[in-house]
Amino acid sequence: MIDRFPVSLPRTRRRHLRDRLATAMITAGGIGVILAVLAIGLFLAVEALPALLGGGLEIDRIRATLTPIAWGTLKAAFWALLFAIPLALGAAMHSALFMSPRLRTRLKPTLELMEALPGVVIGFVAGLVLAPWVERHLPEALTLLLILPPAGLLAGALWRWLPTGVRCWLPLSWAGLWLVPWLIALSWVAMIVAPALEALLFGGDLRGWLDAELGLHYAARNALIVGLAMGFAVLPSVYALAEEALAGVPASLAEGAQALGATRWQALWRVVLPAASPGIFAAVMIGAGRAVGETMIVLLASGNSALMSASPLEGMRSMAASIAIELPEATPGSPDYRLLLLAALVLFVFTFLVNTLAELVRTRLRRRYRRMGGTA
Amino acid sequence: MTLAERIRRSRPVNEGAGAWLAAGSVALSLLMLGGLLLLIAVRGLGHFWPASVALVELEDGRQLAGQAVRELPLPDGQGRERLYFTGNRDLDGGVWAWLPVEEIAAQRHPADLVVLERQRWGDFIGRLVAVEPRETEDAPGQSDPEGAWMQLQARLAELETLREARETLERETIRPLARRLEDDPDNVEARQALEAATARVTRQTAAMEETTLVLESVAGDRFRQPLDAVLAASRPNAMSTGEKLGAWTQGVWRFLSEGPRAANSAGGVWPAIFGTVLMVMLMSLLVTPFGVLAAFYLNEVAHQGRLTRLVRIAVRNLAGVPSIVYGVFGLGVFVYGIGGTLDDWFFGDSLPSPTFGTGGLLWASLTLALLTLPVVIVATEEGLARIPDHQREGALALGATRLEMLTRVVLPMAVPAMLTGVILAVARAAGEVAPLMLVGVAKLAPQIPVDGDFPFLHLDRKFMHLGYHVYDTAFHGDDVQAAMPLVFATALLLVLVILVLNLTAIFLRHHVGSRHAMTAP
Repeated sequence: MIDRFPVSLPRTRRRHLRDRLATAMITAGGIGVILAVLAIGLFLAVEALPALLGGGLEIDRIRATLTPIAWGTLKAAFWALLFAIPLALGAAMHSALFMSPRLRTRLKPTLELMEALPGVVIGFVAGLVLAPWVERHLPEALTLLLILPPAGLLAGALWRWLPTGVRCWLPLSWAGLWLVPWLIALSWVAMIVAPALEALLFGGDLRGWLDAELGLHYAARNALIVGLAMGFAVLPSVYALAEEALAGVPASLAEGAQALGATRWQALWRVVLPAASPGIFAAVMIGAGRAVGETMIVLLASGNSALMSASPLEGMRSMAASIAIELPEATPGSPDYRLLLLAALVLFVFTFLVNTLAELVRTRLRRRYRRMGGTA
Repeated sequence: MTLAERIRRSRPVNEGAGAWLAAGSVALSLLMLGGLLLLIAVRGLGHFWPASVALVELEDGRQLAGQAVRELPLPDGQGRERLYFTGNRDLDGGVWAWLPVEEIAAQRHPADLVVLERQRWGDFIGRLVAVEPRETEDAPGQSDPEGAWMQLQARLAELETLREARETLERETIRPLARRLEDDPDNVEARQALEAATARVTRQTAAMEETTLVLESVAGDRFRQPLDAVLAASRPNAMSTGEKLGAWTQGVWRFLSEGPRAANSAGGVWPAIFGTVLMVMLMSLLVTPFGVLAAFYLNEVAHQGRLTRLVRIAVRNLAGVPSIVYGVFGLGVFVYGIGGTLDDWFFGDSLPSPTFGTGGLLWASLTLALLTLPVVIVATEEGLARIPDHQREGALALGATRLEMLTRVVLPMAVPAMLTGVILAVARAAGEVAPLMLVGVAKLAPQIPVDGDFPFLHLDRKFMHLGYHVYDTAFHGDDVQAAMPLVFATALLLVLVILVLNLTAIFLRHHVGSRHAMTAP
């Protein structure tokens, strides 16, 4: 039977030749593509480093140009993370451990869609809709900022007094959804009480009070607005990674804690969270990397004035925005051009290092979970 | 035990404060996302709804016609003021009017107020007095607004056909003839045909310029307006809901199909849609083969050692490098480096004005391809890693070479993952603006990069982009207030495109999951 299809030797050789050729081509192509991608760092270093190593640029000039924009970058990223991290981690904890699985499978793609929203749209809404609104309604905005984060707490306190039948209708596992109308109602209340609060606490002129008492000058496009918008942009990626880390913790750990009498929250706080802390650290790092490099939001919502002020009510200029504004006008090879390339190199190195760190931590964590018998 | 007691015991009553705080943050995130999408959708779509025009009489006897936009408390806290869009930039010098609400004596919505969309000076809001066939000096005799309106409608329809005919003539007769004459200047026949066609166009233009409208603003200023410059006319107060819906649909269609006017603050976004789609298509043509190649190399061919693991991490991290850095790379290497060299070699006679040495379609696509390469590589690699090894081993055991195993077994199974990667890459590229600002996007590109001239696809031209259109109009426009509705509409369009692409990717990924669940042992 076997001899009915004798293997023709030349054909086999041709097949193997073709195979070897294709393998070589895939290897060459793959290495070529990867080198091309990695060439970015090389290019930036080659173009920018001579400027640093005495290519006609004094160190003073470099410092004078880069310091304010580095400050602006860090300030914007700080406020963004301040908004994004508590929200993202809270959402991750809730969806990893409390949320009903059905809602969770819907929530994750929704937040993924949120991640895909283009920065230019978020920046436009922040800079041209939110900023003028907050400028006119500063007391309302601050009241909202104060009232919305603990709104869930208030709901929980009220929930305990509800009749059991209602409580069954409004379980904690679906709270992510049914709290939304509650938040809307609270915002409405905040809008009503804000003017009264302003009149009571600040004599009816909050902005004047801020200026006189705290010396804070209010600029329409300020760090708070940027932080809010960029926090919104960073939130989904932090959420996704933190959720992955929390959900990957082997269930036996939390179950053990609960069997010993801990509530679900205690099990989360004392057992699951410490176990997942490297992953959460990685999530925050990734968020920081994104916040530092985000261009369009800062460009549209920060005012782009190179100030060195720590006030959250004033604007800033970030490195990415500086590059976007100035580089098209700079002559290639000129000192300005090299300075901007240096700024790009700094951004590249910073994000690359931060991401590498996060990735290493994540890989190690995944290995640890596998040892502990998890599935991630 | 009663039912109530049983329920109370079956669930932990008190989860503690933290659990509720965490639940609140989910709700807050959802609320912010929903609020943002709702805002963009309402403001973007609402713009095309024909708003009714109010005739406002003030306490001091002045009259004013306009569309109420919004109302705010006065800065001093005493009373409120309302913003009206009044149009008539040629008469009043501006198009906005803030009116204190308590100064308004009466407000009516008379049916005879017309809104004209014009090529110059923006919108006109006021009354139509007469439609005159020719520029005559004598004042119009009797005033018959209803008759004039009917006449205007008929004329506008005629005008539309004339415009189309003129465009067709220019596109199909004049331009090809002109090109033929350029190649062969002695072609008498072509020259005659061209002259005849040009004469026809001149005649048609004259016919279009013949009619003038006599218009009157509510303040009583009367003037003449050549009908040629009028694009559309409506009487929103006289429209029923059905008619308004029709006008809305038409407005949306014109937004999608027309080019921008008045420094991008009016008109449509067709060139931007075209530019975005073309750029993204070129980008995916570039990124798909290279990304897949790199993923196959990393996962199937390369020795799985420490170096490969490092390279994999590096590639993954490049997805997190800020897009503006890719823009800098594109500008330095593609535009100034390769583009400058190409100019020196092939386009020396047009220097110092650069051909490829400046931002353009090709460089933008290449830069974005580089930017999205990690996305495609990572997605494809994940797909490859999910394919069970016994499939590969089975193929090899049956005598297949590695190439045959890869192309006949692995590649077909990895197709959904590759598609997911490409779609995610496209969604990311469609929303990226920062790198494009450095490598070739234009505020207003007079020519779209595809036309009938050889080589048909002009890779060196600048192009318009939806995201950049949003940025530029919102940030650099003269009258941001007037441009806002269009910016919202553009933003909505961009978000919709990206959401649809992402949903497709999510759907595909689920599809991948279920397929491998079946094939896994």
